[in-house]
Amino acid sequence: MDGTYQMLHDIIDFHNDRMRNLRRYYPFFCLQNTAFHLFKEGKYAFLDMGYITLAVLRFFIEENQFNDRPIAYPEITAFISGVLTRDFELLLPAEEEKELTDYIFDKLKNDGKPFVMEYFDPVKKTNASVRMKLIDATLSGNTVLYSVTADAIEFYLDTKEIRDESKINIQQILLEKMIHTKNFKGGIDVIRRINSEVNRLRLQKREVLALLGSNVFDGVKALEEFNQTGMRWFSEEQKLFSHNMELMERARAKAEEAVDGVKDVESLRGIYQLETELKKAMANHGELLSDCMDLQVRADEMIHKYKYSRLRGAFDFRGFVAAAEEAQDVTLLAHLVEPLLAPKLQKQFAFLQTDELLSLPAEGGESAEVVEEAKEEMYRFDDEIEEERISGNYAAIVKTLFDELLAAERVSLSALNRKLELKFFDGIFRNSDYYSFLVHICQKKEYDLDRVRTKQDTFFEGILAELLQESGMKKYAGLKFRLVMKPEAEELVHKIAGLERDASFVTTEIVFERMTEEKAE
Amino acid sequence: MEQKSLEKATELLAALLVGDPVEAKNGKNTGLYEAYHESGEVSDALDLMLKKLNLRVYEYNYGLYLAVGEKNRVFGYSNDDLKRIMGLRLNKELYLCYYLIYQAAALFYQDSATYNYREYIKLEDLLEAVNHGLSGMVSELHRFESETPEETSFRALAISWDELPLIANEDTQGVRAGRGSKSGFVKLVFNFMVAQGLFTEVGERYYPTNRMHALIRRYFEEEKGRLYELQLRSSKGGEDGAAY
Repeated sequence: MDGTYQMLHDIIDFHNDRMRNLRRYYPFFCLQNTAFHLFKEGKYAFLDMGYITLAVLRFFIEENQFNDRPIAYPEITAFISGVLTRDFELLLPAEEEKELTDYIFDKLKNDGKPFVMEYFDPVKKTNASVRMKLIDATLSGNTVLYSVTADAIEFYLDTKEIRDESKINIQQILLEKMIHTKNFKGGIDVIRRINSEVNRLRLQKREVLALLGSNVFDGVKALEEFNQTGMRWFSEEQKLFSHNMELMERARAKAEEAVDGVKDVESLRGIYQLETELKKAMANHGELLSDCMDLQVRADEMIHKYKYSRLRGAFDFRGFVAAAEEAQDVTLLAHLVEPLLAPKLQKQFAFLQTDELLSLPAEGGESAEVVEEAKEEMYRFDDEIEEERISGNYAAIVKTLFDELLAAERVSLSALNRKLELKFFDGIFRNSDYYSFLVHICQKKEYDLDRVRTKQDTFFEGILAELLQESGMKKYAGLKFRLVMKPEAEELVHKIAGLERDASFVTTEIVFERMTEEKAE
Repeated sequence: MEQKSLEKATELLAALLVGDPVEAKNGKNTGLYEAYHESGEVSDALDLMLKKLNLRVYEYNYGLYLAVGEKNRVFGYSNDDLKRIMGLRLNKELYLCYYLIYQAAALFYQDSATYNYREYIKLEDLLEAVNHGLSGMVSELHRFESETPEETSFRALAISWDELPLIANEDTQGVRAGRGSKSGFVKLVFNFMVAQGLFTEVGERYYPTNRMHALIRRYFEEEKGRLYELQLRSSKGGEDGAAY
């Protein structure tokens, strides 16, 4: 019965502890199983994500813990691509390689989220979850710096070493055995592990200090835990270190004793190396010790300061938030934030203008664009201008001709010329329109002005018809005349002043004869 | 009371409400500030109006600053108002922003009387402060099993913070406000605080304004009794001290 009870106790009550320990392995198996199956249709499924994970973790521990510096993005991708080419002999074009390394790193940091493992909690009979991150990020300036988490270090060390409250002790005992069995090389490995454990504790110390800065109660709890798991072993560890040094001295003395005149050179070299490493480890351990002393002093200071500020008359923000945290009620934060906000204004108009609202017409409305009625401007083409000029000139000449014809039955061109010269001076004979008029009028032998009104045969008749529309032309209604060309002997010579050479034009004499006298009257 | 004093007091109230600075050094409203100081009638009239509207005015460094009283239905914000202004969707995101605002203020003030003599803060400072502030809760999440926590618990807040990536995209230069990453949230809160006149930004550095100093020093000093009561009630787990 007792046995069954013990078994059930082990199964149920320790389940959470077991899961808590298993949590560290969870990201590894997640990554191992699923990482490459969905990437590029499983093209890289042959890559072993588990191996890459461990390699990257080791790289992080090397840089973060041993060299004490965080890593930026390019360094990680460079390391991963190094692993890909060296170990998987994967030679890819730069772009594809970048894509692959980015993918791997995104997987490792789980896109910035923790890995969450769900399980059944048999004590509370509910589903519970544990969380774990491998890689953490901080922002410094504009660059993101990555570092390995303490959990990830523990996981990495767990893969090869035994875990206990303080690993340093165990390692020391291991070291003692190694020295006894003259396994100096193994001893060096052990010391290296001691060093990494020391570094882990220093990281933990920093975390405790940060916690103290933000929340004293949590900080004190973490400090107690740290003291229990880490610091209480210090004196024992110190003793073991000196004991190991003694052992080493003895081992060296033994090795230096010449057996049959031959020194054990191999052992001596091993011992020498081991001694150097052990000295380094002791210095490291000493630093950790002083770090922890420092932690204790600073923690006391912080607690003191916190107590003091609690007693002051001022309102204590941290105290208020700590109480809210304890009560697990974030809505209390609203009491701190809301008083800081500016008044909410729903009114859209300016407060000062309330009285102006009634007396003033609304301003600032969008007014429509005013379209002014513009007169359509006629564009006159060059030939239209020419035509206008020509018809004006023709009208002047034609009117003179018609007047002459009304006065006399016959009018000769020379008589007409004289008349024109009187009217318009001799400049008219320099006008090309005069000559073109002659050319045009000679196109027909007879003209009947009544007929021209209705039907125009030539360009000249067109101009005539337009002219006859004018009011002053009524007196020419019914006028008919014909042209009689005189023989070439009777040529008219126009002397034109102003032209230098060829200062004359020659035209044939024409006689214009009125045909229907009675109608014209 | 003279009509003129009432007029000045109304003018002062209007200027404070629309958020115009009323400072001795600021040219536009210097007259109003002086009127408040020199005429008892003006300050009395203003105080009366503020009291009726559930508003308060605080003086700091030759300037007047307005604060909204508790549970002010007209000038106070509801959760939905704030979510709309900040571009958030969920209540838990709003609580996270509250927490970020608290941490930003706490970087300058430990309590309402102790100024940390810090000139400005940067995005990283707030990120670090929030990480530290929640680290206890987060490490507990990592260490122990957790049931699905209530939306309004700090555990839920820690989970939502822990699950955010530090930045949204590795390749983009600079940080943009958004809900997708830690730094996006921080930027969002900074932008909001600048819009609320609590910070001024110069080259990615955030300096607290006189308004912020005035409210932190004076409001919380005045209200500490009420807030302590609230704190006590919440730690006793008695009546729920939730905001309206």
